[in-house]
Parts: sequence; structure tokens; C-alpha cells
Amino acid sequence: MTTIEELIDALDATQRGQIFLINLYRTLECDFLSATQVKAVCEEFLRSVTAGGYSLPPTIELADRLGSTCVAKGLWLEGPEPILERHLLKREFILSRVTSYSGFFYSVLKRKKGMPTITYMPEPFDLSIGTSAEISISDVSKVRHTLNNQKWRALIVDNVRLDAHCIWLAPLPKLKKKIGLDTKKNLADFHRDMIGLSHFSKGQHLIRLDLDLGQWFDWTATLRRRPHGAGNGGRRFRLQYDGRKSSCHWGRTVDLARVAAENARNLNGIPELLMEGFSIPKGAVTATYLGPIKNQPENNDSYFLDRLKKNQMIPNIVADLKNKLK
Amino acid sequence: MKNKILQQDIYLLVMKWADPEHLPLDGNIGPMEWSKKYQEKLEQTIAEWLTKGLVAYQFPMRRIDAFVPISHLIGTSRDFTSYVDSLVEIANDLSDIKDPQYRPHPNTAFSHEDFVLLGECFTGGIAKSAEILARRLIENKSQQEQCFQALVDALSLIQAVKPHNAGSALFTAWAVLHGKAKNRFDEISRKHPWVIEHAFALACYPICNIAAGHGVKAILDGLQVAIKRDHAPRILINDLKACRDAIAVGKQIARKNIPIVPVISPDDNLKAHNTISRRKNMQPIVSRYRYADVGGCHAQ
Repeated sequence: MTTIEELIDALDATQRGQIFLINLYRTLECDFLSATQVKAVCEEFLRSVTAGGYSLPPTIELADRLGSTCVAKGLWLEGPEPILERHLLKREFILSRVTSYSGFFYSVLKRKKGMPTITYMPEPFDLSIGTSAEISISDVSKVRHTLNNQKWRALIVDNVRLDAHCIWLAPLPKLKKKIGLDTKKNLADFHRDMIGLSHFSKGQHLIRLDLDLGQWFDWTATLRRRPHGAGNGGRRFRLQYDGRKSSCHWGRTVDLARVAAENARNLNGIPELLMEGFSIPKGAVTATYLGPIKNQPENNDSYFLDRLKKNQMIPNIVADLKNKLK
Repeated sequence: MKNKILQQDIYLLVMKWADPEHLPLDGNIGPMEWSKKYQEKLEQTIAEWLTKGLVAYQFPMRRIDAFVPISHLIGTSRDFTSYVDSLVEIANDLSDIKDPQYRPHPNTAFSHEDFVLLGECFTGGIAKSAEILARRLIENKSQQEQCFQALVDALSLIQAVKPHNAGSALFTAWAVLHGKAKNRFDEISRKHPWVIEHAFALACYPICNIAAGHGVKAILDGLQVAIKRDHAPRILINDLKACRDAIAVGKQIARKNIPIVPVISPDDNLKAHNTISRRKNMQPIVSRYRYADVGGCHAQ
């Protein structure tokens, strides 16, 4: 039977795992979660993956698998609720989610393989089989037209329903402020970097969905939480951001462009929060086609890890975490 | 990142489905009926398990426990997989796995060929869950909203996994909703206009080929009448037209005098043929008639 100590050792074997461990450690330090809760989920995770004598999954995917389990078991719900104060509400009344064309096609339009074709929204190509782009060049203009003119709404019968455990969102005004007046920016790469979406790579076409809280009347009934380390924030998630601590309980994305440059004073992107899966009137959702991603995301794990751990030593963090979860 | 179903999940799933009892051994029961009855019982058990899970999943606080064995598959990362897709993945992963709880017929001479495939039962259970949910939607007023969404999800699953009994299950569900309790259904439908109709059209599409039975054609006729009567969304018109086109392709093939080989065998033998063809990765026959060498079909 694999122990939690062995699980931590396996995570400690990769930089991706160390990033997860540091965030988890700080989540416990900040009292967002209790050690008992994390321990129970880790034990259940170990039971399920090693049942029948199986060994642990490969170390490279261990952090993602454990992160997924933590979210599926509801640990993400334990974080504090981000505050949308009255003055902020006026400014941040639109929340944005950036997704790939595949994500939009399968999760927003709810189309599946084997369904009838839609001429102006073609089925995306699968990049994992070696295709260079999700959409062929000849289809780009009609996709752009369908999305930017909001004609995609006619392709959904009911509301837009996003049914993952939690959805990552960022306030549009902050995003727009960062975009500024520079019209020459490669918008897809910019959004990917600013929101820290390190899993989006070259060839994917990005779409921004802006959720207008003014038109979504029951949004307050949807649970909102600050992202923390027992979520599945990916390899560029960070519980504590640079600069002074904010009291409004929002997280901050990591700007991938700053990680790539290696010389920024702070790596902060923009605020972000988590929302449980929801159903929103399609009229309250505006889609914007951002274009194809032209460059691969940065892959500078060691620099990010160095900035993440700050003055602490990883062996000390690991030892302390083992102690907490004993 | 895509999580793969693990061997232990399969066994956890099988344990969740109560072991259906085998028929009492009787001189009149042949191996075919023995396995067919077992399969039907297992499909029914899975259908009831799925129905509970699909309804529970609509309550956010019960979501975590709704599908415990597959919780690791349910999307949680940013590039997520929905729970419906997770169930589709499970159906695919189970396709070649034999039910470990099935006991071959004691008198069969070919016991190594006497088995039940979990994938077939799982997809069959999905189709039957749509029937159960349609009944619940009409009868259970307190959980109407949840049953409605669960039925939409079940229909979406049928579209994706194409069960062997899809045609009959869809027609039964359609008949329940449009039968004696039509007023009740109309009431529900007003709250979510065209959602169920669209889900039915999409579920019918994969079987709108030469094998489309009267049930599927009746559903499509019903939908056609409905969209003519009211202002239907463009996507429903698009998808319904695709269904009609698929049926037309089938008819065209038939008109070109491609010989139809009648399957003389009774249903049991047809079933046996399909089990063998699935094992050998061949196209199963889903009606009593088949066309000789018609090649690919528009809907597939």
C-alpha cells in the first residue's frame, strides 16, 4: 500500500510536482484547507489508483491526476469567496473565460463527433494526431464571422451550459486595460500568456467568452471561490502572488510572457476566480474570436519554481508537508 | 490532459451493478436465451444505476457522489471533459471487456464463446435509462427540472454511443412523452422550448441510415410536424434535415437494386451474429434485413 509520504516523494521527483506541493503547502499554511481534508483525499486517491496492485501513475502526470481528484472531491469549494464590492461590481460586471475552438465547439455548442455538420462552424481537427491547426485556413473567415456577429447563438437551443466542476474566470475590464490601445498585438498569444493558460499551444484558435452579469440575473446564486493549491491550476498556478496581499480574495494569474522574459519584478497577470458549473442565458454571453496561437507557451519550469519558492528551500517544504499530512 | 479509465474502475463499476441472477436451469433454455436474458437483466440494472446517477448529477451538492467510480475522469482541468463525455469514454473502454460475473450456460459445448460484453450492456443500459427518465419526467413533479436535464443528457449519450437498442428505446421514450401525458410534457417543454426535440433529433441521427426503423421515422415525422407548426431554431431545422437526408440516402441505395439479403434467422440468431461480428470488429446488423455490400453510410 502506497503511503502519503511516498506520494509526496513521487511528486517531489518532478518540477511540475514540486510546483503542486508548494501551492498545497501554502494553502494549508493559509488555513484555506485543513490537513485532515487533504489527507482524506490523498488517501482516497491512493486507494483508487493503486487498487488491485497497480503502481502510482507516471510522475509526469501525477500532479494533474491528484489535482483533478482534489477538485472532483470538492476541495476547491473550501476557499474563501471573492468579494465583488459595489464599486468593483460596476467596473467588473463582465467576467471572461478564454477557451480553444475545440473547447467552444464541444463544451459550449455541445456538438459531438458523429453529429450532423454545421457548414459555418466546422468540426475542429485533433491536434494530437499531428494536424497543425484546429481550423483550416479556408474556414477561418466564416468562423470569425459566426463568432463575432454572435450568430453562434442560433446554434444552441437553450442556455449556454458549462458543466465542469469549476470554471476559471477573469474580469474583462482588467483584461482590456492590459490590452490597451495596441492593435498590433497578437491577441491569441496575449490572452494565453496574460491568463496563464500554459496548456494552450501553437495551432489552437482561441475564443473569449464574456459573461455579462448585468444580463445574467441569477449569477449570485452560483458559488464563487478563490483558487487555491488543491485545485487543478496547472503548471503555472501560484497561490501567493507578487506584491501586497489583497483583502478581496481574488487570485492572480501568472503572466507567461514575464516568466519567459525571466527579468520581471512581478509575474502577476490579472485577477481570477472560480465559479461552479452554471447555465447562463445565451444573450448574456458574447464571443470574440481571438485568432490562432502563433507561438508555443514558455517552458521555463525552473525559473518559475525559483520565483515560486521565494526564500524557502524545497526539501524543507516537503518535510513540513509530510509532517502535516502524517 | 485525458484520463484513461483504469482497470479498477471497471471492477468498481461492475460491483456497483448488482449481479443479475441467471435463469434457473431448465431443459428448455438454450445457451442463446440464457445469455440474452442475462444481458437484458444487466442492461436493466445498469439503466437504473445510470438513471439515479444522471438525476443526482443535476443537484450540485450531490454531484461529487453521483458517479464515484468515475470521478477522476470527470473534467476538472481548464481543458475539461464533461461528465457526459466521461461516460462515453467508459462505454468505449468497456466495449471489449467480458462481464466477469457472467457464468456460461452449463450445457453449452462452446463455453469459451459464451460470454456477455460489458460495453454492449452499458450502452444498452444508457438507451433504457432514457425510457425510465421519460416516465419519471412525466410522473415525478418534485424533481421535474432534474429529470428533464438528465433525460437530455441520456439522449446525448445515446447519440454518442449508438446502442443496439437505440431505435426501440427512443421510440418508447418519445411515445411516453407524447402519449396520454402529453399535456404534462407540453407544460415542461414550454419552460425549455425545443431542447428535448433537438436532443431527440440528434439521438436519432446516427441510426437514420438504411437501418432506421418505423420508430425513428415516427419520431422524425413528429418533429417535422412540430417545426412546421412553430418557429423552430435554425440548428434544429439543420439537424432534422440531416436526419432526413440520411434516410434518403438509404432509400436511394435501395432503389439502385442493391440486393437485399433477408436474414432468415430469428431474433436470437441475429443477436448471436451481432455478438460475433462485434468480436470480429465487423458491422453489426441492426434490422432483420441487410444490404449486401453497400459500403459506408452517410450517417456513420
